[in-house]
Amino acid sequence: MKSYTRMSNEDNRHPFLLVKGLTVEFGGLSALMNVDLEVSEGGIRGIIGPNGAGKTTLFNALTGFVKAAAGEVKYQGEDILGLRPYEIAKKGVIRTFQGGGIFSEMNVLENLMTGYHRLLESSLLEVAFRFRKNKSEAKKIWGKALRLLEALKLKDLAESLAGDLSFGQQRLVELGRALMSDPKLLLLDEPAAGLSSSERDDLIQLLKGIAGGNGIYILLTDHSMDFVMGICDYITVLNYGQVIGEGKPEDIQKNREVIEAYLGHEGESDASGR
Amino acid sequence: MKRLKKYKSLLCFVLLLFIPLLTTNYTQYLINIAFIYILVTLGFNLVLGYVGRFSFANASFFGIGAYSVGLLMRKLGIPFWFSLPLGGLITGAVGLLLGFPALRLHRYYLAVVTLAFTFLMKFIYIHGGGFTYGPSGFDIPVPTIGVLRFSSDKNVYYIVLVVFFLVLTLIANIIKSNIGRSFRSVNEAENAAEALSMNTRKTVLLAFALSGFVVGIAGGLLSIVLRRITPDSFGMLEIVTHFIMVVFGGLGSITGSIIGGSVISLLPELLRGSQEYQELLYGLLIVIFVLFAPKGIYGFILKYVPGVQREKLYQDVE
Repeated sequence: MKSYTRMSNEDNRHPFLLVKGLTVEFGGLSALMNVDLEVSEGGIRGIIGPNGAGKTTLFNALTGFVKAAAGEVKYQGEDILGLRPYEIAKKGVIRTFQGGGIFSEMNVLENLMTGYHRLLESSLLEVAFRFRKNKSEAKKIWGKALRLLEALKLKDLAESLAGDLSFGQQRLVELGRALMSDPKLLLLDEPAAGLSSSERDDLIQLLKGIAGGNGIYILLTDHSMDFVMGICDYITVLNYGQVIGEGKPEDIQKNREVIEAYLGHEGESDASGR
Repeated sequence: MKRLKKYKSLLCFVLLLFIPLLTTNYTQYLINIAFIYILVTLGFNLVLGYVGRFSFANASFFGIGAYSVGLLMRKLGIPFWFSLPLGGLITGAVGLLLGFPALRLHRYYLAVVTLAFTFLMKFIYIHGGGFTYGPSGFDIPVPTIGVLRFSSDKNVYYIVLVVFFLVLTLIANIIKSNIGRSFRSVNEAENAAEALSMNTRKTVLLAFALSGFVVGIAGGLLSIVLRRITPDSFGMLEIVTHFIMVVFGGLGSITGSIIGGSVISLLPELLRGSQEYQELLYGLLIVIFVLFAPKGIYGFILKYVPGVQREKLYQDVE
């Protein structure tokens, strides 16, 4: 009980993820401008916006794949801006990619096993000589991967090369691989792209389960409003690298600026000849 | 059946113990060389096939292993049993150092730098004066345990066999573990590897160091099999040979390394009397395999021979 109150105090002092004034520039052009974001409650947070709004750039900046020109990113109170991607991942911030994130020459089971890297304890010598610690760890990895494959309905494909799967299945493999690492903050870049509508419904159930049951914070992007509205507890809207709206899904749906960003200004769309 | 599978490699080892009963001294020598080249191929594969770095320093690792083990025995009188692991560690350290340019250089530049390093090492062997015994090389002392002298090819075979199995097992264990998977991850998608908390630089350095260690050990074994080492053994032909062994056998495969190392090292024997065609054949092999079977014999067998399963790249769990 004591530890519980201490923890919640800490949570009050530091939001889980705090982004302030984040700015990313590519050759003088701002891909992100002064972006503020605060994630303090669990659940699923959506980042939406039209193509080129800066969603992926935001993920890249949060995970160390691009350098920020200004701003700060605090994860559990700790400054992570400027760290290398693997250092950020080590802390439990795990992301997926829009494409090309799969290891296509490995089979599905191996792909999932790579995800365990963050939690590895065996040293090189323990692995080489197969000490007991390594053996039990290998067993743990194996079991965990199989359990996740079952949850993702991919168990029959365990021995298939990941490169031979459909795009949608590859996305699921990538998600499973991320889950192998027991992430604390999961960044999913367009997880629903390429999924059939039934696969998409499965994914929604799955992600809701993950966010609800395991206390994993999920941040996801998508440009499909339907998907994001159906899954997110809270939504941030980006356009031209800036945050133009924030709120619960039902508020976002009513937000004029957001509607304009997606549909263009009335009258202007005719003038532009689209 | 499952039991049999578990003890497959032990069974293999026991059967191989009887090989000297069936061989002449000369065929025994060839078999010793073949085992050494399997280790060479496996070590090179770590760099070329697993982390996918275009390095040609492998022949230099082989030479550094042979020279350091030989010199430790000859100059310092350190027994073979200590010189061998020391030589492996020395070559591993050199491998680690050569990993650094691999972090920064694009493939072609890395190829040039490592090629230059291999020639530099050969230059040092030739012009090292009293330290390396110059162009004619030097004799290697015979390894002994008490009164037991490992002077014949059949005796040396037992050293080669034990070391071979030990190193093969250790490397196979690593390759099948998450560490081995991190090599392949870095090769396939560096971004995705980093996003899974893999330190790609450290991974590449580790692969180079391990590669140096394995090939260095192979070089040490070579020194006691040849009983005399000369700079000529570690030049251009050697660079090409190692490359063919990996490409012919199969990039990123243990089985492929075993096939590539043994078949290609025995090839000159099959061509006896027509040695001048050896280089021609090497050239043809490279062209054919790069064009038509980029995954080597191993990939070819997997694709066209029904019922053959991909080698398991994770540890067995019961």
